[in-house]
Amino acid sequence: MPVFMRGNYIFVEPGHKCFEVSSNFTNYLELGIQGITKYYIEAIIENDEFKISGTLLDKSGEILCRLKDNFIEASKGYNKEMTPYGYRVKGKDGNLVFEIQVENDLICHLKGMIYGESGEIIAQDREGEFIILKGPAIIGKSGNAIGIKLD
Amino acid sequence: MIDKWKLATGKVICCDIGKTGSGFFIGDRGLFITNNHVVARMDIDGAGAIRLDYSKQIFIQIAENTHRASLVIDENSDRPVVYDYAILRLNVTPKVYFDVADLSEVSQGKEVIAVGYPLDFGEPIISKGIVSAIVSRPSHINALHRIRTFLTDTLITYGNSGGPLIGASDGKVIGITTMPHEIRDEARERLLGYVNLPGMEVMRPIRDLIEFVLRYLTVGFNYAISIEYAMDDPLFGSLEGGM
Repeated sequence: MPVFMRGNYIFVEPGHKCFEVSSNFTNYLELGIQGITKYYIEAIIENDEFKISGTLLDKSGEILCRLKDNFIEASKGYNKEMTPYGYRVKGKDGNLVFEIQVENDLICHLKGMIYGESGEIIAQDREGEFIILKGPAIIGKSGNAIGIKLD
Repeated sequence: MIDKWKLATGKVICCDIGKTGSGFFIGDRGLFITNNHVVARMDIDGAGAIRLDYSKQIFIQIAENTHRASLVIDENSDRPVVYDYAILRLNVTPKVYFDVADLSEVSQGKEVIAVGYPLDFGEPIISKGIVSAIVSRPSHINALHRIRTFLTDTLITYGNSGGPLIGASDGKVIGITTMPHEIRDEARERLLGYVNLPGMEVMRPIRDLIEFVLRYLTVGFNYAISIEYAMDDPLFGSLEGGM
C-alpha cells in the first residue's frame, strides 16, 4: 500500500506513486526556506509568467547559482547558457547540472539535482518527473491557503 | 512635429555583422535605443544554446550625418537579449529626442505612429495605426520570460526593427517596433517543411521563393516591445528633458 492515513496525516511509502496533483494546483513550489536553509528555490506564476528565484548548491554544498525572476547568475566554475526555452547551468566538464525549460508556455520543467548543504539530494528530476525527497517544501500555495506542506 | 520625429530617428548600420535597422534618441545625453537583434548576430549552436556576437562597428545615420555608436548595455547580461533592447551612446548632443510616455495611460485603440527605415528606404518612413491590443507574450528569444508588447496595425516591416512607436497626439515613445506577427498555420508549417526537404538545395529558386513568400506574408499586425524594459536597465540612469 503506497499511502495510508492516520489522524490528519497522509503517510507515503517511498518509491510509489500515491496521488496526482492537478496542474492548476501546482502553480507554486518552494524548496527550503529563504534565510534559513542555505539553498532555496521558489517557483511561482505571476501574470501568466513562471517566475523562479532562489539559491542552488552543488554537491559539495557550495553555491552553484543564484536565480532572480528567472535570470541566472552562475558561480565561478560553472557556465550558464541561454536556450530559446530557458537556461542551463553546466559544469566545467560540460555536463548539465541544472536546467529550467518551459514547454508550450504551459509547463515549466526543472531538471537536475537540487542539493542541500551537506550534499544530500533534496529533489531531482527522474524520467520526466520531479521528485522531492526532503523538506521543508510547499506545493500549491495560493492566497491564504498553505497548499501541500512537506516538513 | 514630423520633421523633429525624423531627426530623432536614425538608421542603424552594423558593418561587421551585416545588419541594419532603426533606432531613436531618448533624452538629451546622446543615448540611443534600438533592438538587441539589430546590433547582435544570434545563432543557436548544436547543443541548442544561444550564442551572441555583438557588432563592434555600429554606425547611426541621421539625415546627412553618420555617427559612430558604442554599446551601453552589459554584454554579459541576459536582460537586454531576452527583452530585445539595446542602448547605444553617440558622441553627439541630439538636437531633438523623444520623451517616454506614461505607459499606464496607454490603452487599446490609442493612435500611434511608427518611424523607421524599412526595406531599402534611405530616409525615415512614417506609418500610422492604433494599439490593436496590449499583450503579454513569451519572449521571441527565450520563451521562459514574458514581454509586455503592443500589437499594432501600423505598417512595420524589415528595417523598422528598433524604431520608435509613438503616440500620434503627443509624440511620446511607448514601444520599440520589433517584428511582424507571423502567420502560424498548417499551410505555413508545410511550406517550411518543403524548405528543409532533402534535395531542396538543388532546387534553389523554389526554396528561395518559398522563403521570400514566408518572409513577407504577414497579416498586417506587428509587435512593439514596451519601452519600459530599456528604461529599467540598470545602466540607463536617469532621463531628463524632452522634445
